[in-house]
Formats: sequence, structure tokens, C-alpha cells
Amino acid sequence: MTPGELEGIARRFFELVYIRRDLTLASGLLAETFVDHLPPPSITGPVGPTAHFKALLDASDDLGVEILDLVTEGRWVGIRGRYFGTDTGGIYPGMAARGRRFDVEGIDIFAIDESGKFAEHIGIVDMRDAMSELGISSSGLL
Amino acid sequence: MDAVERNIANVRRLEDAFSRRDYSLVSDLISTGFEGHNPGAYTVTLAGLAENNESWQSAMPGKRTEVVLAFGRGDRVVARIRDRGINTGGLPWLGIPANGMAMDVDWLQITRHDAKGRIVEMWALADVPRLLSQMGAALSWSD
Repeated sequence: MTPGELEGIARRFFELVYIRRDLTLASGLLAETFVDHLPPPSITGPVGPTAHFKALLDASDDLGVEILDLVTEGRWVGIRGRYFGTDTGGIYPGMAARGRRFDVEGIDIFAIDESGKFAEHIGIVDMRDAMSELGISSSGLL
Repeated sequence: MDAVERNIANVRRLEDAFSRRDYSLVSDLISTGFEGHNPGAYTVTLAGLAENNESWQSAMPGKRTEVVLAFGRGDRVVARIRDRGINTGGLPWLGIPANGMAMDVDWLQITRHDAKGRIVEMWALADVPRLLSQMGAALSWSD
């Protein structure tokens, strides 16, 4: 695939998930053998990631995304994005919603197969900023 | 070696040099106008980058850093980097004392390079929740 095609697939996926909130169409872009490497443990198949996105969307009524940087090469796509919204539904697992605003960056790496579907993903969100904005501390040491 | 390959090689050389606490190559690999955005809320200067490395090397002497994946286009390089070490020195900036616990975490990084291949800007995010968990830290909040 050309770099432009890879970029188009990646942008379409982000639009489907974060703008149109259409997880049915979005999950159709994930290969049956899709592997999500990070955060561990790795998840295989489109069901787990789709459930993750649903939980994310349910946790923030006004979740938005802005793609700040996008790099393609071979089968790889690297994206730096900004994610912002309000914690209206408990965006951090186990923590009740408190209506706080968040505005954090994340870096994702995707591999796209020859059929144009996502085959692999690794992603990290800026949790230090997110924790600060959501009022989470790491002071309690076990 | 084309420009992108050179840029990728420079990312690998920087991690190798930092692992050896060798800062003699820094001027070849990093622009004097360097800005690091890790995490995004604040910027890191070239001196700050070296200080950050020294903090980690003190916390985990002999820490092993491996560039697992790197690719690039134009002036950008994207990398997945794995860090492994033992917390024998403590991570005071995270409130974590020395405890002998093992770390094995990844970080993702995007760098922008100048025409000579030197890194001008860097965006890097570590898997902080995993790091805190491996270091025995518990997350808490008040409702």
C-alpha cells in the first residue's frame, strides 16, 4: 500500500471511532488476527479493542481527538494524537465519574496488512498528565 | 544510507550512548535547539535530557535499553523502545524508594530531525501505569 493509502485508512479509523462513534464500521477495519500489544497483556482479535473503545466513548460524552502528527512507512503508521473531553462516565477503570476535563496526548503505532486492515497496535497515553487532571495519585506504595 | 536511514540510526546511537552514559556523541545526535516533550505538558532541554538519563541510570544501574521497532519518513522517526532494569537506587521523582523490583516497560517516541540528522524535537511517552505497578506503587484517588 502507498503511504497515502495507509494514512487514509488510519484517519478513517480515527474518524469512525472518535467522531462518528460507529464501532461497527470501525471494528470492520480490524483483522481477525489483530493483536493489541500494549498495554499488556496482549489482546488478539477485534472484540477486545471494540469493547475498549465502547467503554472509552461511554465514559466521555464529548470525547474528541486531534491528529497532531502522522508518519507512515512500509506497513507501519505512527500517530501522535490529542484526546480531550469530560469524564462523564468513569473514564478511569474503577473510578467514579467526577466531571473533570482531560486533555492529553498519546502515541500509537499500527501495522496495516495487505488487505488494508489493522493487524497490530501499540499505544501509550500520557498517563502522568491524565492522572493529574483526573485527580489520581501514585503516592500509596504497597 | 539515505536520510531516513541515517535518522533511524541516530535514534539507535543515542539510546546506545545514553545506556553507556556517554555524552560525547550528543552534539552529533541532538541539535542545540533541542526541545523534548515528554510528557506533553512540559518541555525538556538538551541538558534536561542528560539529567533525566542520569536519574534513571542512578535508579537502575546497568539498565538495558532496546530499540524494538523504528521507522521513519521525511524528517520524522517513530520508535518503540523497551527498558529493563532493577530498582536499586530509587525513583524519587515518582516517590518510589529503592526496592529491588524489576522494571520491563516500553515507551513510544517520535523524533524530528534536522538536515544533518540531529534530533530537533522529541515526543516520548512511557507506559507509566505499568511502571508504577512493577515498582509496587498503587494508584489512589478520593471521591
